[in-house]
Amino acid sequence: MMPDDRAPTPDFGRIYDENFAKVYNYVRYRVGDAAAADDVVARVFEKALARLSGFDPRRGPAAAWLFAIARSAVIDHFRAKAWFSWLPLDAFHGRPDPAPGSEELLSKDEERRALLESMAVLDEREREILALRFGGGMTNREIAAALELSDANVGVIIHRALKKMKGSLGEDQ
Amino acid sequence: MTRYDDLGDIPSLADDPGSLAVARRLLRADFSRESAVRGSLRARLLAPETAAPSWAPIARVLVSAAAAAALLLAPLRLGRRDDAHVLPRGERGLPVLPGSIPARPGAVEERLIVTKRVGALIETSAGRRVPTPRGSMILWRLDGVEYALETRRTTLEEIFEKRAL
Repeated sequence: MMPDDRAPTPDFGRIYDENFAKVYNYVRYRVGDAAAADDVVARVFEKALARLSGFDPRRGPAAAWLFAIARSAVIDHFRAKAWFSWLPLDAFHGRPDPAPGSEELLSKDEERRALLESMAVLDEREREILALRFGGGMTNREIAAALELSDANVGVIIHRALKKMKGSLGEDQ
Repeated sequence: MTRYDDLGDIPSLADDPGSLAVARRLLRADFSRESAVRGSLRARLLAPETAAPSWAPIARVLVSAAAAAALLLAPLRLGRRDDAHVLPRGERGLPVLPGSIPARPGAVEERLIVTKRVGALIETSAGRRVPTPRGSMILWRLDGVEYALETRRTTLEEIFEKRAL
C-alpha cells in the first residue's frame, strides 16, 4: 500500500480560533487604531481562507503562515494610508470607545492606550519586532527567521525598544 | 524551545528592571477583546458559500465529463478511421504536406451544397496565381470584377497606423 502524500485538510475554524488574538494584537501594535486593525485583520483571514488549499501543516505551523500574510497586509495598509493621506481626517469616523463596565475595564483600556502611545517613540523595525514578539507571541528565533536577522540581533533590538518605552510608561525609576 | 512569554532570551533584562516591567506589561496586554469583527468575521468566513472550495468534487465532475465525452467521441473517431488520408511520402520517407488534399469523388457528391442562384457567385479567374514582389496572389472574379487574394509578408507599420500625440 502506498503512503498517502497528500497534505491533510487544514481546519480553518481551528486556525482562526487559535490565532485570532495573536494576529489582532500584532496588527493593533502596528496600526494603532482599532477600526483599522479590524479591517486589516479581516483581510488577513480572508486571504488565508483563499489560500488555504496551498497551506501544508507539515511544512510549518499555521501561525508562521498567517503572520507572513499579516505582515504583508500591514504593509499594504500603510501604502494605502500614504496614498490617501491627503484626505481630511473628518473623512474617517473613529469608533467610539466602548463604555467601560467597571473600573478594572477602564484601567485596562487606559493601560492598553498607554502602551500603544509609548510605542510612538520606536522606529519602524523596533515596532515591527515588538509587535511580533508581544502581539504575535513569536519567539526571538521565529522573528529572526521571518525577518532574516540573527536571534541575538532580535534580542538586542527588543531590549533597546523596551528601554525607549519605559520613560513614557513611568518605569524608568 | 524558548517560549515567547519567557523573557530569558532578551539580554540584560535582569539588570534592567524598568525594561523588564515594560515587557511584562506588553505580555499582559490583550487588545483582541476590542475587536468589533471577531465573531462576525468568523461566521462570514466559515459560512458554506464563502468557504474555500474543495477540489475533490470538482475533479470528480470533470473526470465524469471527460469519460462521457470520450464515450461519445469514440464511435466518431472509429468511423472516420476508414477515411483517414495517407500523406504522400517524399525523400527519406518524410511525409509531404500538400497544398490541398483532394476529396474523394463520392464524398464530395454526398456533401454537395446546393445553392440557388439568387445573388453573386464567386468563381476563380481561371486559377490564375500571379507572382508579386513579396509573395503571390490568386485572382478571383465576382460579377465580372476581379479581386486579388494576396499572400505576402507584411509589417506592423502596414497594419497599424501610428499617430503622434
